[in-house]
Amino acid sequence: MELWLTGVTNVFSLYPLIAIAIGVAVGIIFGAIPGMSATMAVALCLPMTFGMSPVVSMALLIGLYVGGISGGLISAILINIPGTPSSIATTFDGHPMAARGEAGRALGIGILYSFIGTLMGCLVLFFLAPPISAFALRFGSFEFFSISVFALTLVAGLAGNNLPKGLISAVLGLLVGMIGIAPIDAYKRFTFGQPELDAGLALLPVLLGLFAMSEVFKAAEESYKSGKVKPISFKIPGFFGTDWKEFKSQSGNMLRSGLVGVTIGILPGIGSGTSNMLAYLTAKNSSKHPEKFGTGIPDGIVASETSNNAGIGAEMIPLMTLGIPGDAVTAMLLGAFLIHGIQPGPMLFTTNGDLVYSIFVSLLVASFVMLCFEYFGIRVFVRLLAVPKHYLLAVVLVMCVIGAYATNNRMFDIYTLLAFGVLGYVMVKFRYPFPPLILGFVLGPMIERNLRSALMSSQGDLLPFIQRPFSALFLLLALAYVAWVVWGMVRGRKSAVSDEIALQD
Amino acid sequence: MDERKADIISGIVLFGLSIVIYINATGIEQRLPVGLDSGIFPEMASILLAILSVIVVVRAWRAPRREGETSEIDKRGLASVALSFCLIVAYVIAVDALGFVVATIVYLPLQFFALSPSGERRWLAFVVVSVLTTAVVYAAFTYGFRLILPRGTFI
Repeated sequence: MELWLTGVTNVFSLYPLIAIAIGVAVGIIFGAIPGMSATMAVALCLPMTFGMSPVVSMALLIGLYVGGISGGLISAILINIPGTPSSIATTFDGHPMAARGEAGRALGIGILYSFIGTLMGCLVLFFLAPPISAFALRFGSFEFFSISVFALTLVAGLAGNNLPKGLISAVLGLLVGMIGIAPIDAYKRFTFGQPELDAGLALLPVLLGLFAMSEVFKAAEESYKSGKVKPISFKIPGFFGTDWKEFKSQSGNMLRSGLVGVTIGILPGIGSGTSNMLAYLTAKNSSKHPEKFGTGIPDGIVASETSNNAGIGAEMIPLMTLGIPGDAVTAMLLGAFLIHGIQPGPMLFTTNGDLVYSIFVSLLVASFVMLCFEYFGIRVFVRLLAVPKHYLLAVVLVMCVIGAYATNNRMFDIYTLLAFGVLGYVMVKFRYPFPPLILGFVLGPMIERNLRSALMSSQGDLLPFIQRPFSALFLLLALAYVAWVVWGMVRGRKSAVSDEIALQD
Repeated sequence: MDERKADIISGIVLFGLSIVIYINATGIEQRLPVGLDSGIFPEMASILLAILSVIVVVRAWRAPRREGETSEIDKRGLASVALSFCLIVAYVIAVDALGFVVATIVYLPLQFFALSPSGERRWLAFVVVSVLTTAVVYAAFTYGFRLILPRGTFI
């Protein structure tokens, strides 16, 4: 309780509140504009936080995250293009509603359930994170190794619908992560005599290259087509376009979708890009009128928007309690912690309890700010959809260069950015997903360090990995997951989710 | 280029890469008396990469040839990507040589031009937006966020 009060006092002061407000607004803009995403928003703004206090910087990044995940619904409904992968399923029913003249109602429902979803995620974070972190204090190198392996397996299998390509992307990430001084014995690997490579590649230039610069190339490829889209005009009727009766009838769908979002979110490696599709399909399959899905009914929007925002709080759990990021955004939040000299993990709750609770409070505040901004400021955001892409992406590129340079104040990181921008574009063209690469890059060094220090402590004995119950559990889960995916591939079946995702590509 | 061909090409390139990495990794020596040496991980990763790239190639090889699939990148798009790439490389070099402000003011209008469809090219607007953006970004990052921007001969 005392920690909650500290959190509230920390956040309810001028700078953190301004940071949240700006973060949410910028996040919504990035979320709403197709080709720009929550990941890009966090990556581009991360360098700005280098000079801020930990509380203010976390407030800004959390605001960006919440706004970025929610903002995608605006373009999903109004122009039938999901602003981010988290809102793909919102287009299925959101756009038909808009086409029928119910755009305002669709937006209202989307905004309301984004807010409710965020709150559900917050609740799970508040109640689960402290006990998990207390429990994880017992974990050693063996457990951290097994959990990281599990996370990497999940992300490789779920990104896209092609397991070998997902795994290749993860292995490439592992290899990129091996550049520099090796853990334990400090051997210089793959540095080719370049002193700049000794510390390994920095995360930020890699991320900015893959997620932001590659978008500039993609825009260039399509630049000769005139990209003018005219959003549908709208007015949000009544209370978020819904009423008590409808709210009650949607409550089952809302809880189920929130649960899907939270469960997917808490699993490392997969996030809102998957959960919104899965929630939509679950809602459809358990509905009394599945045939109406896709024709423009609120159920579809409720499912998609509740689940994607519910994932935010849940995705913070593995990051804050174990120090293991589940996706690109949380990988950057990990970076943001480390810049301020804070190591997320089980110890975070005892050593930096005030910061933990400031993050909790920021998340709550951000969800209310998101609700107000999207409800009252929706017209401003819609107008921004009309800003030509060539202005936005050229400026994004300049921001990438600043961000890459700011990492270590050296040109070398700008060249890294350029290399990964090209790699990102090539990967898009050859249809390799990048989230596994990022996770491989971040988790690889953790996996290797934990494995090697575990083996040193056990004198090279591998048995403790399966003798220690939690280590064994996560290795078994990873194995079971691989077996399940391979079995599915052999039988030539694909899950409904991966089919739907493949259709959206 | 259809996906099948793309997979075969990318698989072969990755297989080649895995061999280079494997050879490099086997040169890493053991430094500590117990545990794994630093070469094990890269060796295992490169072997895994080799196996996976073979799987990608084999799967693509056996996949049915789809008729009538059009090329994914058309020539105009590719030329445009090449132009933007050259502009970005020139910009990065200019940032190092001339400094952030000068390089950005010159780069932005050119990149706006390269990314815009031919009907929407307004040079005056491009130059005005470029100068304003550079000024705002420079002020915000150096004074507001206290970051160092690349300096060259100029600012």
